[in-house]
Amino acid sequence: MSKKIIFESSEGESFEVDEAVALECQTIKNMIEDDCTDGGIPLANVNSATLTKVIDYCKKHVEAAAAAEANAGDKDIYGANKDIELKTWDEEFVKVDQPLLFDLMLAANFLIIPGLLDLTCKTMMRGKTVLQIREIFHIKKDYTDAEEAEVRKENAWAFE
Amino acid sequence: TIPDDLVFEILLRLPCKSIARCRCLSKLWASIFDSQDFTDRYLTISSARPQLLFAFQEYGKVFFFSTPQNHEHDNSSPITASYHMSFPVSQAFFGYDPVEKQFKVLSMTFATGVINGVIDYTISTDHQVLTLQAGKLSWRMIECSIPHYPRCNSVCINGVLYYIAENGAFSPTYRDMIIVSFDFRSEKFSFIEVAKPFFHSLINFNGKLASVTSDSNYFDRASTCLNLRVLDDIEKNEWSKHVYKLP
Repeated sequence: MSKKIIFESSEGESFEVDEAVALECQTIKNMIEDDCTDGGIPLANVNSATLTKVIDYCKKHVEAAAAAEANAGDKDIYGANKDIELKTWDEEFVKVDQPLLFDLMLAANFLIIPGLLDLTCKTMMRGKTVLQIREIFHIKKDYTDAEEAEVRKENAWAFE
Repeated sequence: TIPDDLVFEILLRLPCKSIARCRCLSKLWASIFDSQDFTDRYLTISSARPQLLFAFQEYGKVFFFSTPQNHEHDNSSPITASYHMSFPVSQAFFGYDPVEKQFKVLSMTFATGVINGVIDYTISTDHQVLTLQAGKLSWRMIECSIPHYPRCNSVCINGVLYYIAENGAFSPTYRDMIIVSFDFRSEKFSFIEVAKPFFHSLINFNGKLASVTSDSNYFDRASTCLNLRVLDDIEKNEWSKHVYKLP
Protein backbone atom coordinates (compact mmCIF):
# COMPACT_ATOMS: atom_id res chain seq x y z
CA MET A 1 0.00 0.00 0.00
CA SER A 2 1.56 3.20 -1.13
CA LYS A 3 1.49 6.33 0.94
CA LYS A 4 -1.39 8.71 0.30
CA ILE A 5 -1.32 12.47 0.16
CA ILE A 6 -4.41 14.58 0.74
CA PHE A 7 -5.00 17.82 -1.19
CA GLU A 8 -7.61 20.32 -0.16
CA SER A 9 -9.08 22.55 -2.85
CA SER A 10 -10.08 26.19 -2.37
CA GLU A 11 -13.69 25.00 -1.72
CA GLY A 12 -12.42 22.76 1.11
CA GLU A 13 -12.96 19.52 -0.79
CA SER A 14 -10.44 16.73 -0.07
CA PHE A 15 -8.64 14.73 -2.77
CA GLU A 16 -6.65 11.65 -1.85
CA VAL A 17 -3.83 10.69 -4.23
CA ASP A 18 -0.90 8.29 -4.26
CA GLU A 19 2.33 9.87 -3.17
CA ALA A 20 3.86 8.98 -6.56
CA VAL A 21 1.21 11.11 -8.28
CA ALA A 22 1.74 14.03 -5.90
CA LEU A 23 5.49 13.84 -6.54
CA GLU A 24 4.84 15.05 -10.11
CA CYS A 25 4.44 18.51 -8.56
CA GLN A 26 7.85 19.92 -7.66
CA THR A 27 6.29 22.13 -4.97
CA ILE A 28 4.65 19.15 -3.28
CA LYS A 29 7.79 17.07 -3.70
CA ASN A 30 9.69 19.67 -1.69
CA MET A 31 6.99 19.62 0.99
CA ILE A 32 7.08 15.82 1.19
CA GLU A 33 10.87 15.90 1.50
CA ASP A 34 10.54 18.47 4.26
CA ASP A 35 7.96 16.16 5.87
CA CYS A 36 5.23 18.74 6.24
CA THR A 37 2.32 17.07 4.45
CA ASP A 38 0.58 15.53 7.45
CA GLY A 39 -3.05 16.49 7.78
CA GLY A 40 -3.40 17.37 4.08
CA ILE A 41 -2.11 20.14 1.88
CA PRO A 42 -4.43 23.12 1.54
CA LEU A 43 -4.34 24.64 -1.95
CA ALA A 44 -6.16 27.92 -1.39
CA ASN A 45 -5.72 29.10 -4.96
CA VAL A 46 -6.73 25.93 -6.82
CA ASN A 47 -10.45 25.12 -7.13
CA SER A 48 -11.94 21.61 -7.23
CA ALA A 49 -12.54 21.50 -10.99
CA THR A 50 -8.93 22.50 -11.70
CA LEU A 51 -7.50 20.19 -9.06
CA THR A 52 -9.43 17.23 -10.52
CA LYS A 53 -7.85 17.91 -13.91
CA VAL A 54 -4.38 18.43 -12.44
CA ILE A 55 -4.59 15.09 -10.61
CA ASP A 56 -5.78 13.40 -13.84
CA TYR A 57 -2.78 14.80 -15.63
CA CYS A 58 -0.28 13.69 -12.98
CA LYS A 59 -1.82 10.18 -12.77
CA LYS A 60 -1.64 9.72 -16.53
CA HIS A 61 1.97 10.85 -16.67
CA VAL A 62 3.04 8.63 -13.75
CA GLU A 63 1.39 5.65 -15.49
CA ALA A 64 2.99 6.53 -18.81
CA ALA A 65 6.42 6.85 -17.20
CA ALA A 66 5.98 3.46 -15.49
CA ALA A 67 4.90 1.86 -18.76
CA ALA A 68 7.85 3.40 -20.58
CA GLU A 69 10.21 2.03 -17.95
CA ALA A 70 8.70 -1.44 -18.23
CA ASN A 71 9.28 -1.29 -21.98
CA ALA A 72 12.75 0.22 -21.69
CA GLY A 73 14.27 -3.11 -22.74
CA ASP A 74 12.85 -3.04 -26.25
CA LYS A 75 13.44 0.46 -27.31
CA ASP A 76 11.92 0.39 -30.77
CA ILE A 77 8.40 0.87 -31.99
CA TYR A 78 6.84 0.46 -28.55
CA GLY A 79 8.48 3.43 -26.91
CA ALA A 80 7.60 5.55 -29.88
CA ASN A 81 3.99 4.46 -29.86
CA LYS A 82 3.58 5.20 -26.19
CA ASP A 83 5.04 8.62 -26.81
CA ILE A 84 2.48 9.34 -29.51
CA GLU A 85 -0.33 8.01 -27.35
CA LEU A 86 0.64 10.30 -24.49
CA LYS A 87 0.86 13.28 -26.83
CA THR A 88 -2.61 12.56 -28.17
CA TRP A 89 -3.88 12.23 -24.61
CA ASP A 90 -2.30 15.59 -23.73
CA GLU A 91 -3.94 17.22 -26.73
CA GLU A 92 -7.36 15.93 -25.68
CA PHE A 93 -6.64 16.93 -22.11
CA VAL A 94 -6.29 20.64 -22.91
CA LYS A 95 -9.44 20.81 -25.04
CA VAL A 96 -11.15 22.85 -22.33
CA ASP A 97 -12.65 26.31 -22.18
CA GLN A 98 -10.41 29.34 -21.79
CA PRO A 99 -11.03 30.01 -18.05
CA LEU A 100 -10.24 26.41 -17.09
CA LEU A 101 -7.15 26.42 -19.30
CA PHE A 102 -6.06 29.60 -17.59
CA ASP A 103 -6.61 28.06 -14.12
CA LEU A 104 -4.69 24.96 -15.16
CA MET A 105 -1.78 27.10 -16.26
CA LEU A 106 -1.76 29.01 -12.97
CA ALA A 107 -1.94 25.74 -11.02
CA ALA A 108 0.89 24.21 -13.08
CA ASN A 109 2.97 27.30 -12.38
CA PHE A 110 2.19 27.30 -8.67
CA LEU A 111 2.63 23.55 -8.15
CA ILE A 112 5.59 23.51 -10.55
CA ILE A 113 4.55 20.80 -13.01
CA PRO A 114 6.86 21.59 -15.96
CA GLY A 115 5.06 19.33 -18.45
CA LEU A 116 1.65 20.78 -17.70
CA LEU A 117 2.96 24.34 -17.71
CA ASP A 118 4.51 23.75 -21.11
CA LEU A 119 1.33 22.17 -22.44
CA THR A 120 -1.01 24.90 -21.19
CA CYS A 121 1.29 27.73 -22.27
CA LYS A 122 1.46 26.30 -25.78
CA THR A 123 -2.30 25.83 -25.95
CA MET A 124 -2.97 29.36 -24.72
CA MET A 125 -2.06 30.95 -28.04
CA ARG A 126 -3.02 28.16 -30.42
CA GLY A 127 -5.48 29.17 -33.11
CA LYS A 128 -5.99 32.63 -31.64
CA THR A 129 -6.56 35.67 -33.80
CA VAL A 130 -4.75 38.92 -33.11
CA LEU A 131 -7.98 40.35 -31.71
CA GLN A 132 -8.40 37.42 -29.29
CA ILE A 133 -4.79 37.77 -28.16
CA ARG A 134 -5.36 41.45 -27.44
CA GLU A 135 -8.36 40.51 -25.28
CA ILE A 136 -6.73 37.64 -23.42
CA PHE A 137 -3.62 39.62 -22.54
CA HIS A 138 -5.30 43.03 -22.21
CA ILE A 139 -2.86 44.54 -24.66
CA LYS A 140 -3.17 48.23 -25.24
CA LYS A 141 -2.08 49.58 -28.56
CA ASP A 142 1.00 51.67 -27.80
CA TYR A 143 2.20 52.10 -31.38
CA THR A 144 1.22 55.16 -33.33
CA ASP A 145 -0.33 54.38 -36.71
CA ALA A 146 2.93 55.27 -38.44
CA GLU A 147 4.98 53.10 -36.08
CA GLU A 148 2.58 50.21 -36.51
CA ALA A 149 2.84 50.45 -40.29
CA GLU A 150 6.63 50.45 -39.96
CA VAL A 151 6.82 47.41 -37.65
CA ARG A 152 4.31 45.56 -39.85
CA LYS A 153 6.47 46.24 -42.86
CA GLU A 154 9.54 44.87 -41.06
CA ASN A 155 7.65 41.71 -40.11
CA ALA A 156 5.66 41.35 -43.29
CA TRP A 157 7.07 37.86 -43.91
CA ALA A 158 5.16 36.56 -40.89
CA PHE A 159 1.84 37.66 -42.36
CA GLU A 160 2.31 35.99 -45.72
CA THR B 1 -5.21 38.98 -15.92
CA ILE B 2 -2.22 36.78 -16.58
CA PRO B 3 0.80 37.45 -14.35
CA ASP B 4 3.86 38.83 -16.15
CA ASP B 5 6.03 35.79 -15.50
CA LEU B 6 3.42 33.56 -17.14
CA VAL B 7 3.09 35.88 -20.12
CA PHE B 8 6.85 35.41 -20.51
CA GLU B 9 6.47 31.62 -20.31
CA ILE B 10 3.71 31.66 -22.93
CA LEU B 11 5.68 33.86 -25.33
CA LEU B 12 8.76 31.65 -24.96
CA ARG B 13 6.83 28.77 -26.47
CA LEU B 14 5.68 30.56 -29.58
CA PRO B 15 7.04 29.61 -32.99
CA CYS B 16 9.16 32.38 -34.48
CA LYS B 17 6.59 33.39 -37.05
CA SER B 18 4.06 34.05 -34.30
CA ILE B 19 6.69 36.06 -32.45
CA ALA B 20 7.11 38.26 -35.50
CA ARG B 21 3.35 38.79 -35.60
CA CYS B 22 3.19 39.51 -31.89
CA ARG B 23 5.91 42.15 -32.22
CA CYS B 24 3.35 44.17 -34.09
CA LEU B 25 0.86 44.06 -31.21
CA SER B 26 2.61 46.32 -28.74
CA LYS B 27 5.88 48.04 -27.96
CA LEU B 28 5.91 46.35 -24.59
CA TRP B 29 5.83 42.92 -26.21
CA ALA B 30 8.39 43.90 -28.80
CA SER B 31 10.71 44.91 -25.96
CA ILE B 32 10.20 41.53 -24.26
CA PHE B 33 11.21 39.74 -27.49
CA ASP B 34 14.30 41.96 -27.78
CA SER B 35 15.54 41.30 -24.25
CA GLN B 36 18.67 39.19 -23.80
CA ASP B 37 16.85 37.13 -21.19
CA PHE B 38 14.16 36.18 -23.68
CA THR B 39 16.50 35.33 -26.54
CA ASP B 40 18.76 33.25 -24.27
CA ARG B 41 15.87 31.20 -22.92
CA TYR B 42 14.26 30.88 -26.33
CA LEU B 43 17.51 29.48 -27.69
CA THR B 44 17.74 27.00 -24.79
CA ILE B 45 14.22 25.76 -25.42
CA SER B 46 14.62 25.47 -29.16
CA SER B 47 18.00 23.73 -28.87
CA ALA B 48 16.19 20.95 -27.04
CA ARG B 49 14.50 19.99 -30.31
CA PRO B 50 17.20 20.03 -32.97
CA GLN B 51 16.22 20.90 -36.52
CA LEU B 52 17.99 20.52 -39.79
CA LEU B 53 18.11 23.66 -41.85
CA PHE B 54 18.20 23.37 -45.62
CA ALA B 55 18.82 26.10 -48.10
CA PHE B 56 18.81 25.90 -51.84
CA GLN B 57 19.25 28.43 -54.51
CA GLU B 58 17.20 28.94 -57.60
CA TYR B 59 16.54 31.92 -59.85
CA GLY B 60 18.88 34.07 -57.75
CA LYS B 61 16.92 33.46 -54.59
CA VAL B 62 17.71 31.34 -51.59
CA PHE B 63 14.93 29.25 -50.11
CA PHE B 64 15.04 27.99 -46.53
CA PHE B 65 13.44 24.83 -45.24
CA SER B 66 13.72 23.01 -41.95
CA THR B 67 12.81 19.61 -40.63
CA PRO B 68 12.94 18.08 -37.16
CA GLN B 69 16.08 16.07 -36.64
CA ASN B 70 15.16 12.46 -36.18
CA HIS B 71 16.74 10.77 -33.19
CA GLU B 72 15.92 7.30 -34.42
CA HIS B 73 18.64 5.87 -36.59
CA ASP B 74 16.31 5.07 -39.39
CA ASN B 75 18.09 5.93 -42.59
CA SER B 76 15.19 5.45 -44.92
CA SER B 77 12.44 7.33 -43.14
CA PRO B 78 10.89 10.03 -45.29
CA ILE B 79 11.05 13.52 -43.90
CA THR B 80 8.79 16.46 -44.32
CA ALA B 81 10.33 19.87 -44.40
CA SER B 82 8.52 23.10 -43.82
CA TYR B 83 9.25 26.15 -45.88
CA HIS B 84 10.27 29.34 -44.09
CA MET B 85 11.44 32.14 -46.24
CA SER B 86 13.33 33.15 -49.30
CA PHE B 87 15.37 36.17 -50.22
CA PRO B 88 17.39 37.26 -53.18
CA VAL B 89 21.07 36.74 -52.78
CA SER B 90 24.19 37.12 -54.83
CA GLN B 91 26.96 35.86 -52.59
CA ALA B 92 26.88 35.67 -48.83
CA PHE B 93 29.07 34.13 -46.16
CA PHE B 94 28.09 33.31 -42.65
CA GLY B 95 30.33 33.39 -39.61
CA TYR B 96 30.49 33.45 -35.86
CA ASP B 97 32.66 35.72 -33.76
CA PRO B 98 33.35 33.77 -30.56
CA VAL B 99 34.65 36.84 -28.72
CA GLU B 100 31.63 39.08 -29.13
CA LYS B 101 29.35 36.02 -29.37
CA GLN B 102 27.78 37.37 -32.54
CA PHE B 103 26.65 35.79 -35.76
CA LYS B 104 27.45 37.88 -38.80
CA VAL B 105 26.78 37.75 -42.50
CA LEU B 106 29.13 39.08 -45.16
CA SER B 107 27.42 39.81 -48.43
CA MET B 108 28.59 41.19 -51.74
CA THR B 109 27.28 41.90 -55.16
CA PHE B 110 29.12 41.67 -58.46
CA ALA B 111 30.06 44.11 -61.11
CA THR B 112 31.62 43.43 -64.45
CA GLY B 113 35.18 44.58 -64.90
CA VAL B 114 36.31 45.95 -68.26
CA ILE B 115 39.88 45.35 -69.39
CA ASN B 116 41.25 46.85 -72.61
CA GLY B 117 37.72 47.52 -73.71
CA VAL B 118 36.72 43.88 -73.26
CA ILE B 119 34.14 42.94 -70.72
CA ASP B 120 35.79 40.46 -68.48
CA TYR B 121 35.64 38.82 -65.15
CA THR B 122 33.20 40.06 -62.62
CA ILE B 123 34.49 41.37 -59.33
CA SER B 124 32.80 41.75 -56.03
CA THR B 125 31.60 45.16 -54.97
CA ASP B 126 29.30 46.59 -52.34
CA HIS B 127 30.66 44.52 -49.47
CA GLN B 128 28.25 44.64 -46.61
CA VAL B 129 28.11 43.16 -43.13
CA LEU B 130 25.08 42.33 -41.07
CA THR B 131 25.09 41.41 -37.38
CA LEU B 132 22.31 38.97 -36.58
CA GLN B 133 20.71 40.19 -33.38
CA ALA B 134 17.43 41.05 -31.81
CA GLY B 135 16.09 44.42 -32.83
CA LYS B 136 16.63 46.33 -35.98
CA LEU B 137 18.97 44.71 -38.50
CA SER B 138 21.00 46.90 -40.74
CA TRP B 139 23.68 46.28 -43.32
CA ARG B 140 26.94 48.21 -42.98
CA MET B 141 29.03 48.98 -46.03
CA ILE B 142 32.67 48.08 -45.61
CA GLU B 143 35.78 48.69 -47.66
CA CYS B 144 37.65 46.04 -49.60
CA SER B 145 40.97 47.13 -51.10
CA ILE B 146 41.55 44.29 -53.59
CA PRO B 147 38.99 43.53 -56.27
CA HIS B 148 38.36 39.81 -56.31
CA TYR B 149 35.93 37.15 -57.34
CA PRO B 150 35.04 34.38 -54.85
CA ARG B 151 35.54 30.97 -56.42
CA CYS B 152 35.32 28.28 -53.86
CA ASN B 153 34.02 27.08 -50.56
CA SER B 154 34.54 29.05 -47.40
CA VAL B 155 35.46 28.10 -43.88
CA CYS B 156 35.13 30.13 -40.70
CA ILE B 157 37.78 29.49 -38.05
CA ASN B 158 37.79 31.35 -34.78
CA GLY B 159 35.84 34.29 -36.10
CA VAL B 160 37.85 34.59 -39.32
CA LEU B 161 36.33 33.63 -42.64
CA TYR B 162 38.55 32.25 -45.43
CA TYR B 163 37.63 31.69 -49.03
CA ILE B 164 39.42 31.23 -52.32
CA ALA B 165 39.11 33.96 -54.88
CA GLU B 166 40.50 35.07 -58.18
CA ASN B 167 42.24 38.37 -58.25
CA GLY B 168 39.86 40.66 -60.05
CA ALA B 169 40.38 42.84 -63.03
CA PHE B 170 42.55 45.95 -62.79
CA SER B 171 45.00 44.31 -60.43
CA PRO B 172 48.54 43.55 -61.59
CA THR B 173 48.23 39.91 -60.63
CA TYR B 174 44.96 39.61 -62.47
CA ARG B 175 43.32 36.19 -62.29
CA ASP B 176 45.80 34.73 -59.84
CA MET B 177 44.31 32.73 -57.06
CA ILE B 178 44.38 34.19 -53.59
CA ILE B 179 42.89 33.32 -50.29
CA VAL B 180 40.73 36.07 -48.90
CA SER B 181 40.35 36.27 -45.16
CA PHE B 182 37.75 38.34 -43.43
CA ASP B 183 37.86 38.97 -39.71
CA PHE B 184 34.26 39.04 -38.51
CA ARG B 185 35.25 40.94 -35.38
CA SER B 186 37.24 43.83 -36.85
CA GLU B 187 35.35 43.53 -40.16
CA LYS B 188 38.56 43.89 -42.16
CA PHE B 189 39.66 42.02 -45.26
CA SER B 190 43.14 40.67 -45.84
CA PHE B 191 44.68 38.45 -48.47
CA ILE B 192 47.00 35.49 -48.50
CA GLU B 193 48.96 34.75 -51.64
CA VAL B 194 49.06 31.10 -52.54
CA ALA B 195 51.35 28.96 -54.59
CA LYS B 196 50.08 26.85 -57.45
CA PRO B 197 48.95 24.14 -58.04
CA PHE B 198 45.76 25.30 -56.73
CA PHE B 199 43.66 24.27 -53.80
CA HIS B 200 40.25 22.78 -54.17
CA SER B 201 38.72 23.10 -50.81
CA LEU B 202 39.49 24.82 -47.57
CA ILE B 203 38.97 23.10 -44.27
CA ASN B 204 39.47 23.69 -40.59
CA PHE B 205 42.35 21.43 -39.53
CA ASN B 206 42.75 21.52 -35.75
CA GLY B 207 41.92 25.20 -35.72
CA LYS B 208 44.28 25.98 -38.60
CA LEU B 209 43.41 26.76 -42.16
CA ALA B 210 44.18 23.90 -44.50
CA SER B 211 43.52 22.93 -48.07
CA VAL B 212 42.88 19.52 -49.56
CA THR B 213 43.81 18.47 -53.08
CA SER B 214 44.41 15.22 -54.84
CA ASP B 215 47.08 14.36 -57.41
CA SER B 216 44.49 14.26 -60.13
CA ASN B 217 42.38 17.34 -60.59
CA TYR B 218 39.38 15.93 -58.81
CA PHE B 219 38.76 13.30 -56.22
CA ASP B 220 37.99 10.34 -58.42
CA ARG B 221 39.26 6.88 -59.38
CA ALA B 222 42.47 8.36 -60.73
CA SER B 223 43.40 9.84 -57.36
CA THR B 224 46.19 8.00 -55.62
CA CYS B 225 46.92 10.35 -52.82
CA LEU B 226 45.49 13.19 -50.86
CA ASN B 227 47.50 16.32 -50.23
CA LEU B 228 46.85 18.33 -47.15
CA ARG B 229 48.49 21.72 -46.80
CA VAL B 230 48.24 23.36 -43.44
CA LEU B 231 48.85 27.04 -42.88
CA ASP B 232 51.07 26.89 -39.80
CA ASP B 233 52.04 30.53 -39.60
CA ILE B 234 49.66 33.01 -41.08
CA GLU B 235 52.05 35.99 -40.65
CA LYS B 236 54.91 34.29 -42.51
CA ASN B 237 52.59 32.47 -44.90
CA GLU B 238 54.21 29.13 -43.99
CA TRP B 239 52.48 25.99 -45.11
CA SER B 240 53.32 22.42 -44.21
CA LYS B 241 52.46 19.64 -46.60
CA HIS B 242 51.13 16.23 -45.64
CA VAL B 243 50.57 13.49 -48.18
CA TYR B 244 48.22 10.62 -47.50
CA LYS B 245 48.32 7.61 -49.81
CA LEU B 246 44.93 6.41 -50.88
CA PRO B 247 44.30 2.64 -50.93
